[in-house]
Amino acid sequence: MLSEKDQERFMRLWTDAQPAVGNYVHALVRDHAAAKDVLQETALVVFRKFGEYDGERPFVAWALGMAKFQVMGWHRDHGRSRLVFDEAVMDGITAQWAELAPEVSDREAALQACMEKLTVRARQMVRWRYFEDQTAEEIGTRLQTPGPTVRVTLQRIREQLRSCVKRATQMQGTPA
Amino acid sequence: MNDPQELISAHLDGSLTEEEHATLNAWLAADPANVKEFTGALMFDQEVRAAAHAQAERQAAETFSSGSTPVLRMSRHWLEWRPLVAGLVIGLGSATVVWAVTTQGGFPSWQGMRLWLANAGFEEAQDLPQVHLVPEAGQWSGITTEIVEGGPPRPLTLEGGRMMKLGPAPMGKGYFANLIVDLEAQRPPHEGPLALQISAAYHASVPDQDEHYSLYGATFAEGAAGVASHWTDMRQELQDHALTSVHRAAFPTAEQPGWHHVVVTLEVPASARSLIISLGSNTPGPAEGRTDHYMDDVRAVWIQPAMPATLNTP
Repeated sequence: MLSEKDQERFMRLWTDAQPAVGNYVHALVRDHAAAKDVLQETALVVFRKFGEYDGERPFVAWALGMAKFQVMGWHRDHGRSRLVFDEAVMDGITAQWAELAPEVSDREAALQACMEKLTVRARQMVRWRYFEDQTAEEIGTRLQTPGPTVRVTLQRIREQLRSCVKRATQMQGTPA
Repeated sequence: MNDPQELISAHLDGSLTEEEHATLNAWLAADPANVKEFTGALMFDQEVRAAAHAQAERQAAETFSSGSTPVLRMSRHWLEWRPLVAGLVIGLGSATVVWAVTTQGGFPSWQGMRLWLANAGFEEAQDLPQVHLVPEAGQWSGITTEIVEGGPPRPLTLEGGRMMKLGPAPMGKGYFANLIVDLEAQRPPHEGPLALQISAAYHASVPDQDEHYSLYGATFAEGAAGVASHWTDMRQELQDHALTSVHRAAFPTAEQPGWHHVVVTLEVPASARSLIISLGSNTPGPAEGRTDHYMDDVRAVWIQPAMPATLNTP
């Protein structure tokens, strides 16, 4: 059982790490309800194993390591083993995620501004895809456009946004 | 599909086949630089998701900022677990972990969702067909209407850089800008009664000339082509074919210069396949006294019909 002091310390560290871990889980599970469950399981595991945490290591990286096993376990348990990456690849993704995560908050304002610069149609497609969780095929039905065309358009929108954010953050001296 | 960019894109859209997934995995295993590129794409995808949710929340708040009741609420699928730590309550002392689950608050997630309207803020510069209604959904049209830049000698826009200019029209003619919307593709997954709260901004530039602005909405059982054929010189024939319709006019006074909103609530029957939104303005009197009018920022939001309107005509 953790001491009261360690529990408070856990809460502080988890508060900071949770957005990065949550994004990681969602990115690799790609199902909202399942990702929520996996994140909760991850939080429980991280809490239970907190006594083993080496305070010299970055907490986010350690928590992401726990999340990796939860994500792989979820894919295995749901018969999706063929859709999960090899463990070595997962290790690489997890390490990169820990390294890149601190930059996310620096890009938030720039991304919001860049989204405002999109055309009305592009903004609406982003909304359908990312807010309403519609597939490319569903968006295609709305726009009377083939799904593959929607996928290409969404990819271009992402590239456009990424370039815009990169320019904006470079002007501010922040890595993109 | 073997191009890594296409594979990444397909992964982000959840459309990878097992074979394509294996190809992507092999590409990732081949070089750590590939892993870095892929992770960056995954991460940015999540950032766009968060930004899209933040934007949708902001739009809903702006649309209903003058409302007095919390009638409308956006879907919170993403936001409900972003700050999940708030739901993690550790029972200090007993070392038990209790999860507080965020609820949807009893409102269907479609409430407050904006209907997609083509060029709703008139930010895309387009040559508008100079006819009353084009026989296809998603295209603004109207006699003597055009999309123009804001700023002197015109008024500044309410939002963005462009707005809709209506008129001047010959004496005895009104000014209209019209849009047909395909409702079939955008109907929320709800079997009960539905309604749309539609709003548009108008600029009261010369309020001492008895100018007025109007917003008309109507639903039809026909598709866009059938609806367009009903528009004659005025709206009456269109009105006769509507399943439901609503019209509201705003008459600004000299004390009310600047931008205002006109808002209507339109019931949407289950049989409705299309919607017309029509912006109108007029200045009575002789032709030489007639002026340009400007409207902007058209919005339509799904609501339950029983819900009271939260915005009122100024």
